[in-house]
Amino acid sequence: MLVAGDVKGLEVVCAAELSKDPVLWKEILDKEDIHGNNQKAFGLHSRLISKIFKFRLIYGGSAYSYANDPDFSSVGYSQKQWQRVIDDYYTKYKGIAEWHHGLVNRVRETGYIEIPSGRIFRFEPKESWKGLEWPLTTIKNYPVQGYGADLVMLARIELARLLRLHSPKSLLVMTVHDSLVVDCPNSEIDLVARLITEAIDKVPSMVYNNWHHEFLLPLTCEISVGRSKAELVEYKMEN
Amino acid sequence: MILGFDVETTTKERGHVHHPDNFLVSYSFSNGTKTGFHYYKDPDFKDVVVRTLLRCRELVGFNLKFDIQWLMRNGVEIEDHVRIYDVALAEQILTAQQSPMVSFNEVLEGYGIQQKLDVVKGYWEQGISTENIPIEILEEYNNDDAEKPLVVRAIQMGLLSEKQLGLVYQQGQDLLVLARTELNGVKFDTERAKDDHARYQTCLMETEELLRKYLPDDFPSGVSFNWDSGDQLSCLLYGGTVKYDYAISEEAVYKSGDKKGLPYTRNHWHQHTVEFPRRFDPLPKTEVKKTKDDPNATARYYQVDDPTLRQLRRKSKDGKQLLAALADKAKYSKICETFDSLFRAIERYGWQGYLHGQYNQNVARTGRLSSSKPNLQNTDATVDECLISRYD
Repeated sequence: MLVAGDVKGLEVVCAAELSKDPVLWKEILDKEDIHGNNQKAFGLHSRLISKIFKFRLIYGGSAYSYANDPDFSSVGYSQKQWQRVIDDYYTKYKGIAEWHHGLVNRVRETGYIEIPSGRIFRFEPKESWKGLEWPLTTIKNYPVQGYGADLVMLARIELARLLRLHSPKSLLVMTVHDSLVVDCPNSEIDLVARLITEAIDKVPSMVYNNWHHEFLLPLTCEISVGRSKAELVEYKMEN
Repeated sequence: MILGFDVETTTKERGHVHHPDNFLVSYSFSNGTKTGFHYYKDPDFKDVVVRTLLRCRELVGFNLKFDIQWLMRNGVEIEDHVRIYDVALAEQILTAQQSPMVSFNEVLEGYGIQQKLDVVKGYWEQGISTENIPIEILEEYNNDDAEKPLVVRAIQMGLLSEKQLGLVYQQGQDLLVLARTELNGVKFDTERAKDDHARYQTCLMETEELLRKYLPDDFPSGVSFNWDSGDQLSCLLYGGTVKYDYAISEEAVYKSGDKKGLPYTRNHWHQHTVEFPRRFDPLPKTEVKKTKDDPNATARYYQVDDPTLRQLRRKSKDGKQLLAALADKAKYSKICETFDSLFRAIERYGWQGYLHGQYNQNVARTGRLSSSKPNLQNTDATVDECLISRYD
């Protein structure tokens, strides 16, 4: 069977860790329905819209892009209305707003950002019809994506070690964004599910050991199992 | 012991490790002062690498995943005590991910180091496989490729911060995991894939047939509407003019010269201008840059990408069938192209029921992995049905 482990809300957790936003931090720790709550708070049409909105905002989405995005056309908001939602969001998550602001300022001053893994991102202003402009979306986007990739790398390394030790017949066969896919004998599904969970659970301590950075939020995963990648369905581990 | 390492292999599909016809020809280890070359005909060819790796603390090389996979294919595993330092990955970190797929010569040039020996490359360009290259020439080349990464490493170590160096070593560990993951491969249900491919090819042909009904009645029979052309699609949807050059063959007879009186076929070139009526009003701000920025443009073109067409479909009362057919065509084309690329890879590399896609650590500017040959990170659900467990 294929057993897949997806790191849950990787981008949101990375944004919370990097920004230290206390509201988002608390929502994650309290396991709140963040997207459901924001749907109500910001008057959005559905939980899905709220979820997509949040992910894109973490990645630096703008009112213009939401207003012109086919995914949001059913919402029917103008650029002005989307700006109001963004303002409301930044009012709620002041830490994210300050972090985004800080990233842009740092790039304007130094030309680069460094994330806790030591990875650096350099940026240059680009010519546009308004003159030279910094790539604001990219500046907000890369740290979250890069940090997420480095965290998944740690999980992958740990999972490979655990599989070698405890389930040598089980093989890592794919690694897709925030997901790790293992092919294992049917008798070892539960064991592999536990090993994937253990590997992802261990990432925060690996961050500290490797990069001397305290990663205080938990990283959790969703396990799914199926005969094919298309048939993966949620799996609950045996007690 | 820190060792520079490099392997040389036969050259089918650039030495692809999964190609059954390829084999490991030689390898070299270097500690910076002494370099050892080992040839596949040596009686202790495999034993030496195993013994050397036991004493090795750090393995240094350029694009080491290739070299390590060749060791793995030969049953040699890199044990946990060996750190991996890949010069290409370190370069990617040092340049803030702005040196994607950099060549070794480019790295050497950047540090003012003499470029790689190119004598062997000359043999390869003449179609001479590695095992047929004179051994003394191969030895010099292989040794050079094991020694130079050590020189680059020494310079890079002075440029990397402590954290970055840690990251490079973690990427080295990850490289081992990815090398093994690629070798494991994911089982591919080829029979099902062939059936699905045929089914979607039929769907695609039927959809293209349906779409042809939307072409104007005077559309010339000798030319094809290019469904992949943004300009032509823009005209079909938003109105406009397309000029088609097409040839009509006719029989003729040579009137003079040696062939006088003999028949031949000649092409008569014609140009046909097709006027497309406006079926949809373009959405605001969707004019394409090339005409938007050109006040003298005689034609105006508008975006026809999938998100725009989806939005157009939502906002339009009429013509939904045409837009739905275009969406279907895009979907079926993508599925068929994905299957085509998978079948091509299977045939090209001689894979037996498994897909061994590559995971690239030094391509994306964000630091995320990319996947290629074939890309396994962005597959359609139809293709996902063919990625199956080997244990069922």
